Amino acid sequence: MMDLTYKRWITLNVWGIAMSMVATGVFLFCGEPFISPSVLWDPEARLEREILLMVRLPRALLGLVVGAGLSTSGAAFQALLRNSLADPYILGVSSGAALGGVLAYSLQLPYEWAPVAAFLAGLGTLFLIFFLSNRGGFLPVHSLLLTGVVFNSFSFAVILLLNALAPMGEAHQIFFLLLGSLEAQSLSSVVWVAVPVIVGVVALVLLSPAMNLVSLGEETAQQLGLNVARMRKIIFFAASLIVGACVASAGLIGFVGLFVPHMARLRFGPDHRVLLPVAAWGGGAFLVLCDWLSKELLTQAGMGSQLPVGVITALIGGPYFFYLMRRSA
Amino acid sequence: MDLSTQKYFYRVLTLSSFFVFFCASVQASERLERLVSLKPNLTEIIFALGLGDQVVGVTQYCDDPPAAQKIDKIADYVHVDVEKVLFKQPTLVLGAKENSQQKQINFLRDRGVKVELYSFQTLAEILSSIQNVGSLLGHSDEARILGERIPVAIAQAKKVIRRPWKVLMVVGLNPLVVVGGKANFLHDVVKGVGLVNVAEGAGMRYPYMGIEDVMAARPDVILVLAMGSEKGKGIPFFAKYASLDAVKNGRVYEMDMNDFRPSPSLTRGIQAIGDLLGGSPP
Repeated sequence: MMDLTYKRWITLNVWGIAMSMVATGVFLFCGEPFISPSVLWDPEARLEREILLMVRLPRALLGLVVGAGLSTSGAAFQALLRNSLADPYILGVSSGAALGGVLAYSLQLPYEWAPVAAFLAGLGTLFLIFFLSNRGGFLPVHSLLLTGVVFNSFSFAVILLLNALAPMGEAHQIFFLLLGSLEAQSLSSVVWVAVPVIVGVVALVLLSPAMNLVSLGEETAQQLGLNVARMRKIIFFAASLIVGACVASAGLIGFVGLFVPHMARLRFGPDHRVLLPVAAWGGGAFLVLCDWLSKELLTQAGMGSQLPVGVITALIGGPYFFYLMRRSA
Repeated sequence: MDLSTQKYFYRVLTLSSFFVFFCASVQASERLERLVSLKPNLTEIIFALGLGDQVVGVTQYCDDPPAAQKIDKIADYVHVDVEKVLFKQPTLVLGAKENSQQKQINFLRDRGVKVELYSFQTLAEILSSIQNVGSLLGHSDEARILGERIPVAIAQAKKVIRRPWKVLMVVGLNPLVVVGGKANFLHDVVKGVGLVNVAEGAGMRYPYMGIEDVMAARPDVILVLAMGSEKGKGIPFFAKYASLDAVKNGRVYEMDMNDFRPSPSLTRGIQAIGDLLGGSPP
């Protein structure tokens, strides 16, 4: 593990900020139709300015927040479970949140309640999984994994049941929640998501030195003075809080939490003090660019539709991931 | 009246006529809308009201009338591209309460766009929605005439169908999805033309039905409204079940789903049912 200096850490973060700004710039200005940055000060371009600031900007910011959240929580879960296949959805909080949203649609509650229901259900799931996995104050890895996987399957079975029983006019709302989307957001709703995600990401970044110790093995970490049980709980709560907020606002967007941390690990090594910030900035930029593609591909083809962003994340991430794996092997 | 008074009178009359004409044309131009339709049936209604030239955005599936296909696409069936809608600067967006993403509708309304949603689940709702769209767009009389065609078509079909056939109306083959009796305009049509919907008892709009249930229901007629890749597969699908009366008697028919949209084109579908089942011996 390479020595990490403040200078290197700050340089990496500056690069991360620059990358996120480039991705946001592409999303804001390079969409169809092209909007010039000059509309920001052109008094004649009221419509373009409104679309830029009230339609594209909240969507890009939500992409940054959700991408950063999913990617960082993915990296944290991989450290927590010491399993490189772990992703933000593995411990069931996401499916619990999705179930909450689906339940709100099925009960035909006012639309605004769906994200709230999803977030509350995500939090409820978090405590349920914690309660079920807890063994005398410890969170054993196998117990967490089993509980999460079983809860995922159970939640999706209930979602399918609700989908089958839902009125036909509501079934597509459920479908779109499961597909995931970043569009049609106001700036205020982005702030509501950003608060828990930023708190969670900062907590995880602060815990990154401890994650390094855990990666040496639990026994070694204990011998080095780390309270592994306590650290696990904090990581579990912080990452789950992030995932609950992301799913409540954007639905289920797959692959970001698996692909981006692995990319960062292949490029920057396993040091979590570097990995987590890089994953956060990289995840945000990656999701914004994927969302830009999902928005533009069909538009350029003259169709009045957009692709689900999760399709793009998987289509880009999958093959590139295999390529990197082959090359590094 | 002396000559100067007469001249003065004519001048005033001419000027007044110009003024009235000017006001009328200003009012007419003010009535011009920039309409966006979020459903194919609404596009049909707007065109049928003679307002097709005021439509600036439609869905990918708006193909009736053909002129609608040339208008810019801003949505698919359930997903609306809110950015494109805003770029069109619509004065009015028309959508359906069913199959719309509330998130997108709220977003447009928050941005100051006027969005009106209509219901098209039952026949009564279709008729009132046609009337309400017409009234909103200042074409109340045309909407009334348009709406009246549907009950007239139903009455005509009822006249020629002289037997209360037991009918199963199918909208999907795999899985088998049928027209139920709850809040469904297709059920209202079946009932209206004097037929019996064998799936009326199902408490859903479009229930799933097992083939065993179909056999138990013993429909005399099966009407398949196939969509997409299932087009042309309705008759071969049911041919496998030769014990069904509808199959034995050659009364499995495939119909064009486009004739059964909740719009003025519904009259074509009703007429087609009348043509198929009319004149049969009681």
